[in-house]
Amino acid sequence: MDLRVQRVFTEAFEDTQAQFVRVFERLFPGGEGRLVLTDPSDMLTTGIDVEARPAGKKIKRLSLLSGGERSLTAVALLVAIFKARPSPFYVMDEVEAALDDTNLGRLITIFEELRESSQLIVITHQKRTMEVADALYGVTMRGDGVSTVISQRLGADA
Amino acid sequence: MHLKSLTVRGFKSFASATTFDFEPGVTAVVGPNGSGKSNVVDALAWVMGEQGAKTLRGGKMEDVIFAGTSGRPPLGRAHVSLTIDNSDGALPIEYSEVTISRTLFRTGGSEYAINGASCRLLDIQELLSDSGLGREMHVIVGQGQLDRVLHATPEDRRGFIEEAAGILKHRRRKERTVRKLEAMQANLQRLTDLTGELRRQLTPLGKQAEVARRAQRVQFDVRDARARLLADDLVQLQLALEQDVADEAALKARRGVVEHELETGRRQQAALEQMAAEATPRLNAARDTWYQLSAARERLRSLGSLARERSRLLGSADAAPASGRDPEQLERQAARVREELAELERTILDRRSALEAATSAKAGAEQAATAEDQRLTAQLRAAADRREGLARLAGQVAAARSRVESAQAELGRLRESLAAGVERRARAQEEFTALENQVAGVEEGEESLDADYEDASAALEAVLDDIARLKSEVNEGIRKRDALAARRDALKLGLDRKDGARHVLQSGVAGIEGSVAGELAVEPGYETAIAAALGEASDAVLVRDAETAATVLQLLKDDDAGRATLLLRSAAEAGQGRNADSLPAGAQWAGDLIGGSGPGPDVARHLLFGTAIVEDIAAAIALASSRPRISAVTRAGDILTAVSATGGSAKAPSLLEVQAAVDDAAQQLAVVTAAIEQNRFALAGAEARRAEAQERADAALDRLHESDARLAAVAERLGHLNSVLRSAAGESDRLAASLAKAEANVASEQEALAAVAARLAAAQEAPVEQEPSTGHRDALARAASSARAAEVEARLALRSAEEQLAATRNRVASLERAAATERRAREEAAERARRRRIQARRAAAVVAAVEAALRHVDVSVAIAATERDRAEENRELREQGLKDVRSTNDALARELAELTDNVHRDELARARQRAQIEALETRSVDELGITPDAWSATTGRTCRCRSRQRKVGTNGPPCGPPWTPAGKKSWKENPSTGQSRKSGSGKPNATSPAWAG
Repeated sequence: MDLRVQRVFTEAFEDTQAQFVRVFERLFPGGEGRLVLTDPSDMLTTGIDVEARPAGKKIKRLSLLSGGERSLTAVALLVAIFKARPSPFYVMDEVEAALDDTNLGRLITIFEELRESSQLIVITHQKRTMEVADALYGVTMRGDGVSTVISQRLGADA
Repeated sequence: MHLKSLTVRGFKSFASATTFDFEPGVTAVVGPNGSGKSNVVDALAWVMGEQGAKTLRGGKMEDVIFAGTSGRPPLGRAHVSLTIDNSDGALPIEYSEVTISRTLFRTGGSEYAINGASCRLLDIQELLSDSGLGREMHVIVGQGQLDRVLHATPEDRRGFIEEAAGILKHRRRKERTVRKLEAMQANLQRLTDLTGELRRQLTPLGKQAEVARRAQRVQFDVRDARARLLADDLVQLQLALEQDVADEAALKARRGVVEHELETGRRQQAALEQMAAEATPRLNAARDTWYQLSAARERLRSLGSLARERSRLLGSADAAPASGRDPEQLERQAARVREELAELERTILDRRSALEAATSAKAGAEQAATAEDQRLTAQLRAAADRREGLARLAGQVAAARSRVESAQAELGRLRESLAAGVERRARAQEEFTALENQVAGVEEGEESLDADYEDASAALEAVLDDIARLKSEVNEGIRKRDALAARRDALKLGLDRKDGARHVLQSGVAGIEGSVAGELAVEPGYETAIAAALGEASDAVLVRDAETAATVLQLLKDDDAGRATLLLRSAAEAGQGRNADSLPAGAQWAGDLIGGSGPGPDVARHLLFGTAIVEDIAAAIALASSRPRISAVTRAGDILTAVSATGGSAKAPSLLEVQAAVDDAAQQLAVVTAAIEQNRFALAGAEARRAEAQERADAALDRLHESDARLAAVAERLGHLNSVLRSAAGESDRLAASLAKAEANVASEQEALAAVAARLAAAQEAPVEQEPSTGHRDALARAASSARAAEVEARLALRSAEEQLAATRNRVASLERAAATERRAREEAAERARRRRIQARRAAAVVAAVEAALRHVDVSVAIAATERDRAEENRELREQGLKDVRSTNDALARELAELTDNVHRDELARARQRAQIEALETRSVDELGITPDAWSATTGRTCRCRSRQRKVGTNGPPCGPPWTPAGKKSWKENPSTGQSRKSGSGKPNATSPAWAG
């Protein structure tokens, strides 16, 4: 069983590694990101580290990145996992809240790639994200503290 | 596979059922902050089996149930169902659509269901994990998930990838198996430990078994010994019991004897007591008789002594002396006093008549005195009245006189005033006349002044009218000039359009000659036509040559200042001449219609070569068709050539037209300005004339005013004098009237004075009466008072006589009463003496009788005493016998009680012995399991024991212990008694057969 775990994990890691590099370059044009194993000798217990280097910066540690960069890096990792081992659907709750317009555009192209293979449910405040949505739900809360869906499928087929 | 729809009810802020239909592709959920968007994500995570309340942003799982708001009550359960499209078979279940739902009740219950069938959480997790939706739910990226990814340790990040890769499932299975193996290992370990322990304990257990066997043997011995001891104790006790029973029988016999004796003694005692009771009344009767006799003797003795004493007393007290005065003498005295009484009554009669005389005298005197007093008072009052009337008349005279005097003074004053008024009147009249003369002179000069003034005023009016007319003309001119100036400025503004041309003109490049339009002068009426003919060139700028033009165009390009048309002067210099051809009627060459100085018109003419101006469009068509080389331009600005026609409604005026309008406006402005100047000059002249006329009019007016003022002053003076005159006349009239009235007043007052004075004189002449004398009255008063004194004296004398009479009468009565009393007392004393004597005689008789009786009584007393003594002796004898019998009885009773006590004590002791025996037997059964009869088989004393027991059994009921199962063990070990046990065990409560047999 350990052998099986080791084999499956190695495959998954390699796929994720490849996807991460690709996604990171898409999200940080000119930047460079890698996933590294902390203990390559023991594939059963090794941890995984993220190295991220946006364009023109020398830092590699995640904690030294700016807030937007950090969240973008995290999104990149998640998206890399999603792409390496696709799931039927994904739910994302305001993952793009901290992004500027340019990065948001990049992320949206990633979303559109994911949408090819899976279903995406996105909670968002960004108008551009709403624009790419196939369906749009408006949730509101009146004074009574009860959430109501005021407009179902606003952008259906739009 | 994709999510099809999500229905949420009562979950977090979604109180009512809400359904989201998801599409393949991107579904966005939007809304303001705090509207519950993230609760949709939480609902998804929850329905897919999320267990951590923290992940759902709550403290405990119940927090996901709608908690109620101000307007809605809280709900009792949360329900979320998720429908998944499984048409591609991604989920290992044979449905094309799978609905998983989760319900949580506030009471704590939780339910899961797949397609409506209840299931376990594990089922849902297994169902989903095969499709990559593991327990960690990495597909749901909630708020803060990003941070978690970032801050995760490398191992945690590995977890993400493992889950995505589906490794977790394997890992979980492995963990489960390992756990099971570990549990198995632990069980095995415990088994091994247990067997080792048991093996270790086996050897000591063998030893213990040996010891136990030995102990059992010893126990048997002990038990046997104890049984023997018990049997011995029991036999001893039974022997003692038999002994005690014999003793008790002896005691009971003795008790019977004593009881009999006691009975006999008691009967004897009762007989004796009966006899004593019978003797006692006899003794009491004897004693009573003796007491009564002794008491009678004592009474007789005391009676005798009392009678003796009495007879002695009555005999001695007999001589009572006669006291008091003699009544006869008293009566004589009374008669004497009565005589005195008669004398006194007579005296009283005399005195009463004297009193009556005095009273009548006093009444007469008082009447006379009163009459005299009244008369005197009337006279005094009359005299006072007369004096008062005189004084009043004198006052009236004085007043009348003073009134007359004042009227006369008033008359004098009025006369003086009248004279002064007349004088004033005359003076005012004189003055008035003089002034009237003066007024006549002044009025003559007044009329010429009025005429002068009117002339001057008319002249002034004429001049003022002139001025007003001029002023209005000037204003009109100014207004016109302003309008024209404004028009000209506006037009000029149009000239300075913001275009390339103006920029060029302002750029100051060398070689620029100026605006073409500025230099052109077009025949009026043809501006539109010329402008149309020139086209763009009408707004063009004139430059020297082509080089300059190139420079200017480059400048425009650099400055981005628009386009401009440039005309080259060199063209004009080289220019063609005028159009030589003739034109049909109504048309003329355009070049002929422009004039002006400078090179501009030449250039324009150059441009307009071959262009003709016609009146209207028809003419233009005609011209163009007849002369194809000529462009025909109408007055309205339409251009026709043989091949083209341009025109339409008027477009914006061209620079040329505007320039013409500007020139026109400027010309009109000059004319108007000149007119204004002219008018202003005329106005200045008129102003000078007006000043002169004004001055003249003012002078005339001043003179007129002066004359008026003089006239007014005289008139005022005249008015004043007139009023003075009038007032003086009025005053004179008034004074004259007052004078007449005052004179009449004086006359009437004098008359009144004369009348009053006459009355006064008459009054004073009336005779004065004599003053009345009081002497007579005083004498009468004295007489009255002396009469009163006499009356009082007479009354006093009468009173004293009457009192003396009353005293004497009392004395007579008392004397008579004393005599009667004395007489009665003497009679009573005689009666008393007689009664005493009788009593003394009776007492002596009593003494004799008593002495005889005493003698008899003494004898009787002696007899009664002997009788009594005898009875008492009898009684004492009986009592002695009774006492003996009683003591005997008491001794017997004591003995009986003692015997009874002994019997009881023995019974108690026996009962105790029996209880001991019973206890021993019980013990034998309890401890040894052997009944007493069993000893017959085990001990050597069986025969003795049994016989004793049988003997006891005949005396009392057998009281052996019941058979109990406790004896089982002993029976087992003693098989010889097995038969007995068997027979007894059938009826455990029955008496032992050994006892019975």
